[in-house]
Amino acid sequence: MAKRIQVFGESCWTSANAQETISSLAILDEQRSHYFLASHAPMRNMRDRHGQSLDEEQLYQKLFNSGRREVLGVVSGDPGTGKSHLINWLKLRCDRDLSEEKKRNLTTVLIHRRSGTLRDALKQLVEQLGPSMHRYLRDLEDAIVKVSDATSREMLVNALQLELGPRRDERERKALPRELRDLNTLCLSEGFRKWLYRDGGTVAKIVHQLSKDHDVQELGDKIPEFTTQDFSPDSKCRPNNTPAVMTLIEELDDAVSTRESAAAAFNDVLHDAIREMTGLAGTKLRDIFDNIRVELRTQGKRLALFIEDVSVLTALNTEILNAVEPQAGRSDLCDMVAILGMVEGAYKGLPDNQKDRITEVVSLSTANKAWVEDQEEMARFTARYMNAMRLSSAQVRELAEARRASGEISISACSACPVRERCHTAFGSVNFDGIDVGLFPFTRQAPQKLLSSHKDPKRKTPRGLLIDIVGQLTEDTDALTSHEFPRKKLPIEPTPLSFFTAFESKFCAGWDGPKRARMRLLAEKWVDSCSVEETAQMLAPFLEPLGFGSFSTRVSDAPPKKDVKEDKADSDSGTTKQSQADAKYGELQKALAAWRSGGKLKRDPEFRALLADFIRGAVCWDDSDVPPAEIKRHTRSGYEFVHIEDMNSLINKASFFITFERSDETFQLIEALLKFEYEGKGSWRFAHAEVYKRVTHRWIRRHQSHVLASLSPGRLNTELPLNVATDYLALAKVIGSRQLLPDDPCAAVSALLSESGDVIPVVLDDKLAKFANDIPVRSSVAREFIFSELDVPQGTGATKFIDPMPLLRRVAKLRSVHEIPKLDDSYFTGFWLTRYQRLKPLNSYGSLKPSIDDERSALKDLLSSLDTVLEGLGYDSGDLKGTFNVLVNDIKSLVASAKQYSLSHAGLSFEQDGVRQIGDHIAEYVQATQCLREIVRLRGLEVLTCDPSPVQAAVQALNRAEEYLDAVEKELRKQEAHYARAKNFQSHEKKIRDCLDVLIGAKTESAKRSG
Amino acid sequence: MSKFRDIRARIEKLPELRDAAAVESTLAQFSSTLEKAASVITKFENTISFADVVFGEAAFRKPRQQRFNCSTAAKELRQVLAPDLKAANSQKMQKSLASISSLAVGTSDLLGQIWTTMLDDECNQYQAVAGWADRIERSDKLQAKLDRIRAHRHRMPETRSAAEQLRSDIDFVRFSFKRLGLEGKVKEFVEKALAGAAPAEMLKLPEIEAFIEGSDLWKFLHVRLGN
Repeated sequence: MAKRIQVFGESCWTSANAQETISSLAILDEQRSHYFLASHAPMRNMRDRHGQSLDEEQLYQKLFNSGRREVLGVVSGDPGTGKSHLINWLKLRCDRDLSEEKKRNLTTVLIHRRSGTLRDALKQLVEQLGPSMHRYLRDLEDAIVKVSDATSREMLVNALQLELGPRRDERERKALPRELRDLNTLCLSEGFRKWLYRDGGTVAKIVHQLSKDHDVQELGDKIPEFTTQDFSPDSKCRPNNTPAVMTLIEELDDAVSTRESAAAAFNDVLHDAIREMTGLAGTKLRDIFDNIRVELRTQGKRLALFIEDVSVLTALNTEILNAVEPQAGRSDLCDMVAILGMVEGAYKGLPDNQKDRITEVVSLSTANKAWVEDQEEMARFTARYMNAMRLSSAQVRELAEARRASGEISISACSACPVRERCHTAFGSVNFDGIDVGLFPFTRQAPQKLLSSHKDPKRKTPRGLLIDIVGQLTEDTDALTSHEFPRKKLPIEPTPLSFFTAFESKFCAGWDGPKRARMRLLAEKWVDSCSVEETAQMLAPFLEPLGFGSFSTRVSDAPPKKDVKEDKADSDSGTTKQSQADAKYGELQKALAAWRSGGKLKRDPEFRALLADFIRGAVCWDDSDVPPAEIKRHTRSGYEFVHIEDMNSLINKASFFITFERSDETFQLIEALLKFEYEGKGSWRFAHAEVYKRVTHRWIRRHQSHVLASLSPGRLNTELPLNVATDYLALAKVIGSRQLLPDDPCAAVSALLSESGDVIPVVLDDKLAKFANDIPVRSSVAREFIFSELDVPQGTGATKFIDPMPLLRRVAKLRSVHEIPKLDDSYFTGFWLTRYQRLKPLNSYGSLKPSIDDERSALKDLLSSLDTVLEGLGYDSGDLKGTFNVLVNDIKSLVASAKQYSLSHAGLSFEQDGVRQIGDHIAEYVQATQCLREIVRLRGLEVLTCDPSPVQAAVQALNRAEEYLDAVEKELRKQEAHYARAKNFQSHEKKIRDCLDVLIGAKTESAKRSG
Repeated sequence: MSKFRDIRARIEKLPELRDAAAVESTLAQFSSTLEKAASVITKFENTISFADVVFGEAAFRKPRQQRFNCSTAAKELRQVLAPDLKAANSQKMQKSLASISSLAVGTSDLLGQIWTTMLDDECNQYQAVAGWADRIERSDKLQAKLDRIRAHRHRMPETRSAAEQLRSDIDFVRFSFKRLGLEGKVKEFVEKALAGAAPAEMLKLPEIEAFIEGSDLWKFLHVRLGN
């Protein structure tokens, strides 16, 4: 019964009517065929096998008035494109001719796809041919019984065994691999056989698909196939097998590839096995059909056979095609027109010889493609269904009958509607030969816009529109009543509207989220608008009927202006660039809208870059107690610190990061930034810019403190690192400049930050020496750290001013500082690592008090060694100046004598500069020695205020002099030793006298005389 | 006193030490050269006394003269050095020292040369007929003695007994040939005959004829016509 409405916006159909009208499958039973005709949309732009366009009437004429005795027509198309619908229409059209006696003696049979089983299909055939034909169908009935028999699983296994074994050669199949030569025995051996036809196994699934009623959508068209799992029997099925099968099972266990080969071999013979199992193999089905046709011929009848979808009769579709194909020369057969629906893929998969035997082929794919793009056609399509669901069943019948006669809608539910004018004005209507049908709750644009944004491209079909969109929205009539239309979540992609935030801001102020979401959907899909004002003007008529209330701003009556100024660049390249930018902008808007709807954020780097620039420029960093250098370091470049919820990029979070959650607020912010970037080209010069400016300001107002807080995570004492740096600098200054920090705080701070003392001073203690050696490098680091921490930014350059207060507060303590505080590990991990890492080396110094004491001892030792050297050289260290003067003179004299007597020792180079060095620095030596003698008696840092290097130099110079002296003495000793041999003078004299005596002969003669 | 001053003082004493060392060096040279010369002369003195035993003093008059010259030079040197050893540094004394050394060595060499000559003369006069004589005597004593004498050609006797033994051997040889008559024209004829070139006319000399007859040598003689 039709629903009577009183209020504009109220649903003018019932949910039951909507369900009745819209069905996923064409409805053509006696009770409901009127709905089919009432809502039927004539099909246009179908293509025959030669590519010629034809409509449904032309097709009907081609099939039924071709003059041929036998016609086999195939309607191909993707699922949902209307194959069944067309075949149903052809059947109704045929019925109309029958009723008008234009066709006589024609027996029509329509096989719906329904459960998609052969059993069901044959059942329909038997039922529709009538009792006289039952005898011919007995065999078919047997086949049906076979399929439904409880033992059908075993039968299928038997059939598989035969196909794999004895019939393999018969069918000229390639021989199986050697290891699978006895594969058929698996079907014979008790244990494995049980495994094959187990519950849930592939055999069971196949039998289920062939025999039981099921939802075609749910199970699909394809027969289940064997997998490797079917060849890994469980432990229960392993016993009770023949030894040969046991061996084969072991082979299967050993390698996956063997199991894969076995599954492939089973699948190869599966279709033949199914045909054998059903008993419909070979020409059996065709023989039965032939017998029926012979009988009909004797009765003077002809047969019209309509099969909605032969593709679902998997494994037997070839048999059915064979059964109905034209057979020239069989005059005993009755005339027959067979029209079969086939999915595009199945038709393309037919062998060429079989395709050649098909008389007419019609493809719906092209028609569907044109239909999806045709807004008007889709509006008419929708209007027909809307009209049918608004009418009572009787009216639908009346309409159906009228359409059967004239072909077009003759009754509109809107005719008697009290709100017709307003409704049609607001939502639009479609005129069918003078009859207006309102599109409420859709608009002329809505069906096409909704379907074209369907998430599943395969569902962009009439069925997709009816089931997924029109059905979803019209069945939910309560949504209209409760002013929540359209509230059903549809499987569609959002269409980003660049101006919607401005629109919302202007016209939806004060509205709640769901209301705004509904308005957004309407704006996206119900109207075609390209500006805020235009959208408002177009959506305004929906406000009352759909329960939105009024806009927060009055909608102007003036013709809407375009929001975006077109950039009329003269050059082609400018235009190209602009279009590229526009394309990119559009893609980014889409990605953003999809993210807002719950999807992942694609192209997130571009959004993050925008947000990063925004954060850098918009946050008032001066409000933070974080050093500017830190802020710059974290946010200076890149966008790594920007994280958007559910973004595509998988990245490790940086130490500093700001997370943008999926929210309207984030969406609006990014949208505003996109506009700024693309519409304003880096400026706020674009339509409704003020709205978006407010969005960004609002975001900053709400989130600035959070952003700033992100730069100070945890609770670390940031004063301590500053103390570390100042204390270090204080000690470095004392040692480096050899003076305590000035008493005046300002002078002390000035000295502290001066680079003048950054030298490596001479110290004697090892630990202190390490400290001293590091001074130039570490002082610079410490000073830089202080500058960066206390920087008071001026301009964009380097540090020019600092805040001296923390230093002034600390300076009094620095005069007596002995140690550098230690920073614990928390300063050198995570977020803080980069800020404080440079101070880590200062941790190694710690307390320097023991080192200072050691230094004092070392200085005493130095003084002592000076005394020792002087005394060793034979001088008194009391009057140091006098001693050094005498010493220098003595050395000079010695050097002169050594040179004179060739005893100089040039190798030590002392003669060249040693004497001069001592002579030139006597004053320094003396002064430094006196200074050291004084400070070693004092306690505290004073010990560091004197440079021991002159005393060290004095000791070194004296050591060199001593070395020189030793070298000269060594040479002298050699010469002395050499000349000391003159002591043999007398022995030589005696020997000479004796020898002369011998030579003279005195001895000989005296010896002779004495002898 | 500082170390520097101490070392300087020691340096300044170096010239003194150096001069003393220079004289000592010359004296060492004199000492060494004269020691060698003295050694040569001492050995000469011994050797010539044993040579005298063999050939008599008259045979070695020349070496004795040279020895005398050496002695004279040594006396002159002693006269100069006796009052002042530093005079050794003079060139004249250097020449004198060289002369002494040369004379000493020359004396010894001259003695050796004369000895060798005399010993060769002694052996060579008998060498040609020594073997023939032993055949006649049916003994090899002459040849053995001659060989023993010749062994002293470069080795002068170093003891008196060795000198006397050599003298005895020479006397034996001389006596043996004298006893056999192998002297004068006879010795000449035998030597030539042994060489196959004795003139037949020499057979007419009575001392030769007597020698042949007395020694029953006709059976050994053959006649050959020359060119």
